[in-house]
Amino acid sequence: MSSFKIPIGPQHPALKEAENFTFTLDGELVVGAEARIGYMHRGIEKLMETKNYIQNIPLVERICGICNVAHTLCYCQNVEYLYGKEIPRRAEYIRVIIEELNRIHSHLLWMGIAAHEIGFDTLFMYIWRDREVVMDLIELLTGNRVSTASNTIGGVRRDIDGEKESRLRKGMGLLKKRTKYYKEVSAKEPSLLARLEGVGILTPKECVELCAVGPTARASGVKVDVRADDPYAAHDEVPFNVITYDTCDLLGRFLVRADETVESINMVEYCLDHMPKGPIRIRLPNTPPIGESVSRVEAPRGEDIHYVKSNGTDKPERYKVRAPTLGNLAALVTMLATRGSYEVYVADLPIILAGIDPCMCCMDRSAKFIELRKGREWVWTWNQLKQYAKKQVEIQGRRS
Amino acid sequence: MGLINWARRTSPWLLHLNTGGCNGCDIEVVAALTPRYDVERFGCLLKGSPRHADILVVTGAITRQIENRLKRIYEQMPEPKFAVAVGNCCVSGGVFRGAYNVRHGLDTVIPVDAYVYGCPPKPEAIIKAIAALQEKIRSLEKPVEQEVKVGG
Amino acid sequence: MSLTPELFKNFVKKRATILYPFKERELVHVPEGLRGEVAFHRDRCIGCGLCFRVCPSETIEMIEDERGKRPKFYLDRCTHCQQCEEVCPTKAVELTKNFETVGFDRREAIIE
Repeated sequence: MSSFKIPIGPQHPALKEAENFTFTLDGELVVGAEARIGYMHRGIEKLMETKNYIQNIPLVERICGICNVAHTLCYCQNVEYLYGKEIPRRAEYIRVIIEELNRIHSHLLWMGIAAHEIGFDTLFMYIWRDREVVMDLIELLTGNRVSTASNTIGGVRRDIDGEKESRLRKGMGLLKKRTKYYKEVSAKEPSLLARLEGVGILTPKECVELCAVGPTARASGVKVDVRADDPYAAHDEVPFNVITYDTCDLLGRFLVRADETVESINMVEYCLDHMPKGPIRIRLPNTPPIGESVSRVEAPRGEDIHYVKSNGTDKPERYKVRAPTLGNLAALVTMLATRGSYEVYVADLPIILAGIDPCMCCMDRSAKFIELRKGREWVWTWNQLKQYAKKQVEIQGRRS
Repeated sequence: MGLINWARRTSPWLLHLNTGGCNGCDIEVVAALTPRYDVERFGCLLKGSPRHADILVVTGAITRQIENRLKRIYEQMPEPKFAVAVGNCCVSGGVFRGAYNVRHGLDTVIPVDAYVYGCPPKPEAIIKAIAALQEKIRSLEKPVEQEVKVGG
Repeated sequence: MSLTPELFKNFVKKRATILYPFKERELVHVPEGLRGEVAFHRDRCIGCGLCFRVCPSETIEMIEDERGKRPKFYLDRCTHCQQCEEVCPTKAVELTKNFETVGFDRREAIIE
């Protein structure tokens, strides 16, 4: 039985981002998978220590362009926890509206890209044509189609008045009809079922062991959602259902996202009906008190956690981000290889890679040392790195 | 001959490369192919291999890891070829200026023919850049003089 | 239900494409409050430097001219976050609705 390795490299038509995977093949069966990440690493966490808290808001937004509202929401909540102050209720409702609009656009984007990866370009073009409705609404409310910049420390920057509200309601009504139509199509269309059913299996036990998050876990029956487990902003008052399916395959992930889009549309309508009156922003001083804080948020791809440490100046001392795709990476590498009676063929690779909704730019945070000349590679813990640095400083100190 | 230049100008095939950005400009480049904006009216198709492409559309801040691969992909494209930098991160490093892993612009790596500013630029701006690039190709007549050396 | 009835309905619907840039420019969606290119009014600026302190991407550099301190803008680094417009006390910096920013030379994208 001979095996053959193929690389799917940084530039590939099936990958929208630069990452490298190496697959070991045996005929048409994929028997092993390895990921080599790090092409999208930009050094954001170090850069954040040189800018003050207000300058960091657009930088945190550009960790990921598609789920940017989740990152700024997490950052602003984190810093508000440091101050220990509550923001106005109206601002929390507007934050939920913008967050759910972002989730709708991200899920529709994913459904179109999944249809494109299996070759069904007609559905891709239809879904992206209908996605323009929600992009126009985001542009109307915040000023830009993608980088919304609506959250700030102390509240939100723009308000929703009468004319914007009526356009928002009309857009939501239209999208609800179209999304329900796409869900019915996907449950019955033979070409979609042939490509998605039984592909990319992840059992519930593996899900919990490998710490998968988001719709990847919810399609295997694991009920985990930060908006229900640990409510933030106005999610303690706005009702919604946590959607799970127990098919454990890609069809389940498609249906979970279609249902979550309809749930988000219902949440936006509830927020518009019950919006409280009042101010939208409070002014906070430039330097927060000394302390540490953690906050988490349900991004469209799963659970997003941020940590901040402040030392009394106007720049953060340390900021750490754990994006949802890093949690799903171990599950992805497991899903890509044949194990037991679950077989993976080469033709299934693009759709499985796209199935966890990868957002590699959020994720590239780990570092591995590779010594080219000797061909060694290894990973160090934080303590080992500190010991090495101390030794180097002593050696150089002795020389100078 | 004018016919060859007309054919080259009116059917530019694109190769899209993401070199480490936040994906915002990426989804606007893909949105330019969807029915509302439809860049295929200008003859553009999105191809998968550098050997088939005329225009390299680059998005994202150039990281040090992808710099060598970007140069190799640009060298693999056949002449005449053009490069377009989409988004402020690609033009000048954008909001990541000062980070240890990011280059300050695409023109430190390969020669660039058009810049699209914005963060991210609207798909209409990307369409305008392709139309402007077609006009620039027409006014330069550069490809014809380099090619026609037969029988000499 | 498959996509075939939807296909036939599309034969009688209006086309979804907007024929930008040579015709139909007025159909492009440009709402009020769109965050486009930066515009600077020199006569209103008092040189306080607040815009320099909130800009995230080194777009603004404070220089001196014959009337005092003022910002210089490198428009190819701007993130269009609108924080400079919010913090300016005299409305000397504002964001226009111009989104058609395409150029062939980076040195033209500077407000001196």
